[in-house]
Formats: sequence, structure tokens, C-alpha cells
Amino acid sequence: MIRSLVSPLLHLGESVLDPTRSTAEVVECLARGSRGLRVSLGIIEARSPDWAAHARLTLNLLAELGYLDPMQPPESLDRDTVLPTHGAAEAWREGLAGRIPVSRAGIPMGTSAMLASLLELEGLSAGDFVLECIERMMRHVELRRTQAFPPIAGTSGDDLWLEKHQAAILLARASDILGDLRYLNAALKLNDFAYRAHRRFQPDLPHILYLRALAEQDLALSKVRA
Amino acid sequence: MRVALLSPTPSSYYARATASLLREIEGIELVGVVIRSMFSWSRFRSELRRDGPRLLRKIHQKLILGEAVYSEDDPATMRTLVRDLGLQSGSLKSDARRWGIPCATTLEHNHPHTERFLRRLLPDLIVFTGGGLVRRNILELAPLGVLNCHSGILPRYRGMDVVEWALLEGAGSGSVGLTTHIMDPGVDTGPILMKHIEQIQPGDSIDGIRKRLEPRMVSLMVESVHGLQQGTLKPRPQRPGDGRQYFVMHPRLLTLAEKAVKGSSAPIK
Repeated sequence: MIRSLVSPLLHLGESVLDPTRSTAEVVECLARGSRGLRVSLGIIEARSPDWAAHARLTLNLLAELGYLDPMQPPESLDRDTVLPTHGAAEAWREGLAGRIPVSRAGIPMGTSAMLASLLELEGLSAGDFVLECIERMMRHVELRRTQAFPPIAGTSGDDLWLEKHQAAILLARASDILGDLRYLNAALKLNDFAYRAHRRFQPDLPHILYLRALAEQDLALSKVRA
Repeated sequence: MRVALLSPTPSSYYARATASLLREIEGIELVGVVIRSMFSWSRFRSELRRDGPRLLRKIHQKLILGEAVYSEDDPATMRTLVRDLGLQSGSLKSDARRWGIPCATTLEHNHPHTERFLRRLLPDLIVFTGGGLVRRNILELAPLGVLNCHSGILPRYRGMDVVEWALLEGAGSGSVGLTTHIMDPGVDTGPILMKHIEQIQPGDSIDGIRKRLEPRMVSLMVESVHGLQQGTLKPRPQRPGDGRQYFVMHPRLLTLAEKAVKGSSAPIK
């Protein structure tokens, strides 16, 4: 009796509360986003060369995943084009003097992009600083979940989303480069938490970066399957 | 040897079977049990934060389905062990009353009331069968410490969902199993006592492996207590860098882990 009354309620509660996105939802979001991004590439280029660089890289990743017309072969996947220069990232690291910029309070804006630049530069031989930062970011996401990366004073809503998407991209790349699936696990969760806010594509940087974060995540997943 | 036991709920099969078997070993005296109450709001909130909506599934399985989660015809599950021990009805509280040992109910194991209760029992060892993080006030209470059985192979696989993680990473035979260890303030980082390696069978599933491990946890725990009492087991410290801490696995990775254990080559999409 209790079972027949309570079980459906618990299932309903779980489905309402669950932020997890299924493969089908992500595939649909990527397909819709790739169409939207291709159509609006001209508008994005007119708005900002920086956004356009992110958009082109994202289109290339989507082509790699098979979401774009095979008549448009993917170009190279040079992620350095959208990252701070390696020199700037190394100067940033030196400026920190060994201090790890990831804490319970989150991370200062721009941290994920700097770390991504160092990771792309150092690859498998990434040093202790980069590894420690990524490990702490992963733990931060796992422990704080939807509360991860809380707003730091003076941070606008869009900036916050940009940092979250950059963090998801970094974690997916770290999983791929370092072969540690715990990072992909955290990237999947971060992207799930952002799904409701960014699932419908719009030609602005937060949506472009979210699409890229999903593409990076699914590219890393496809390599796990392989 | 005086042993106290911490139980996650009043009806935990794991706790009841462990307590029952410990009492049968000569030289071991079960001096008391602490039972975490079925529900507290603060625990619900913190577990919801940790597990997300998966917590509702756990509640459904443990409190609503109960025995129904086990297959009738599988002899290697906790249900069979519990029936063999005659524990299919009742609770740890009624067991304690029957055995004539002190029993305390607590909102959480770290509560000062729990500490005071345990101090009065003067245990040599505390056996932990679940119920959240255990803080230093309890960890340092018994001379031999607090014994836990982790459902993964230590030191490599610490934390959550480690059966799934070991299968996903394809770490090969010897990567799935159980480890008993003396708890310390870290997550599964305390000195190791015993390990059990679970062989993966053709046609296995993650759920099947987990259910098979449940009764084995009881026996490994009891063997470890016995080994400590006999002096044949000595805790071996872990080095922090020898393992990683894992977290709740995302469902898309879980699908891959399930496929890995089944050896399926079917496409995932």
C-alpha cells in the first residue's frame, strides 16, 4: 500500500529535481545549436572578432562530431586561437607565486582560460601547479554542485556563465589530455547545471561557449567509447 | 575484545548481519550498538546536496522496496544471508534488546550523546557499518580505532561509485572488490587490513556485482575483527599519492561502465 503510494511520488520528485541531461537531449541541443551557429556566423563576426574565433572553433568541433554537413570539412582544431597566449598564461602563473587560485569561494574570472592555455602548452607533462588547480576545480564542482563557482563581488551574470563554461571546457580537455575521466565527470555535471539557462542557442558569447563546452564534452566521451 | 557497532539505520541488513556474526566469535564481546535514526532534516539536506535527486532513488530502494530489490532465486545476496541468520524481521534495536546489550539511537554518529554513550562502553574497537562521515571525536575513541569496509580496492579507488569507476577505467581483474581499513579523517585513506577481490563473471551487471559484494562485506568485516583480535592482522598505512578520490558517476559515464562490464560493442548513442 505504502509502496504503491510513495514510489510514484519519489519517481516524480526525482524527475523534477534531476538536472541530469540524457544523451538524446544533449544530441538535440548540439544539433539545434550547430544549425543556429552556422546561420548566425555572419552576425557574430560583425559583432566581435573574439566571438567569431570561438564560433569558428566550435563549428569545427561540431563538424568533428558529425553535426555539420559533410560538404563542409572541418578545419584544424587549434584551440590556441581562442586562449590567452602561452606567454600571458605563464606570466599569470608567475604572478601567483605558487598560490593556487581555486578555493571554496570559487575562482577569479579568467582562471579557467589561463589554465587551459597552460594545459594545451604542457599537455601530458603538465606541471604540479596545473594539475593541482584542475584537481581542485573538479573537487569544487563535485562538492558544490549547482552552487559551484559562486559570484565574486563585481561579477556580472554573463561573466559568471563564461567562467563556468570555460571551466567545463577545461575539465573536458583535461580528461582528454591527461586521461582522467573524473574530470570529464565534473564537466558533464557542470554542463547539465547550465542546460536550462543555455539550451536554446543565441548568437552571443555565453551561448557559443556553452555549445563548445557540450561539443568538447561529447568529443571526450566519444574517445572513451572508442 | 570489546566491540561497539555503528549502524546507518535501524533496519540495516549489513549492520544486523555483522552484529549477529560478531557475537558468535569467541573472545569478541559486542558491548553496544549505536543506531542512526531513520530521518533527520539536516542529514537529508546534506545528502541531497551530495547525491542530488539520486537520494530519492536510494530512499525508494532502501525504505520502500526493502527486500524486494533482491532476486528470489539468487543465493549470493544479502537477503539469503539475512534469512540464514534468522534476521528477516525486526530491527537492530530489537536484536540488541534480545541480546541484552545497550543500544542508543542518535541523529548522527558524531553527536556528543553518541560520544558519551560510546565512552561508557569502553570499546577496544568500533565497527562502522555506514552512516555518514565520522569525525575525530569518534575516530579517536577506541584504542584500535574505527573499522570500515569500503566497497572498492584501496588505495587506488577511494570515494564514491568505485565499482563503476574501476569497471569504466578498465583497470582489469583485481580492480573490483572490498577493503577493510581503519578510518582516519580523510576519505578512505586509513590503514588497510584486508582485501577481497571480486571476479567479474560473464553476463555480469553493475547491480549484480554490487549485490554480490554486500554479503561479502559482512564476512570481510567479521574476518577483519577476528584478525585484529587474534593479532594476525596489522593495519598497513596508505600513502596519499597511491590513490584517487572518486565522486558520484554521471549517468552517461555509468552507461559506458555498464557496457564495459557486459563487454558490449553496441553504439552508445
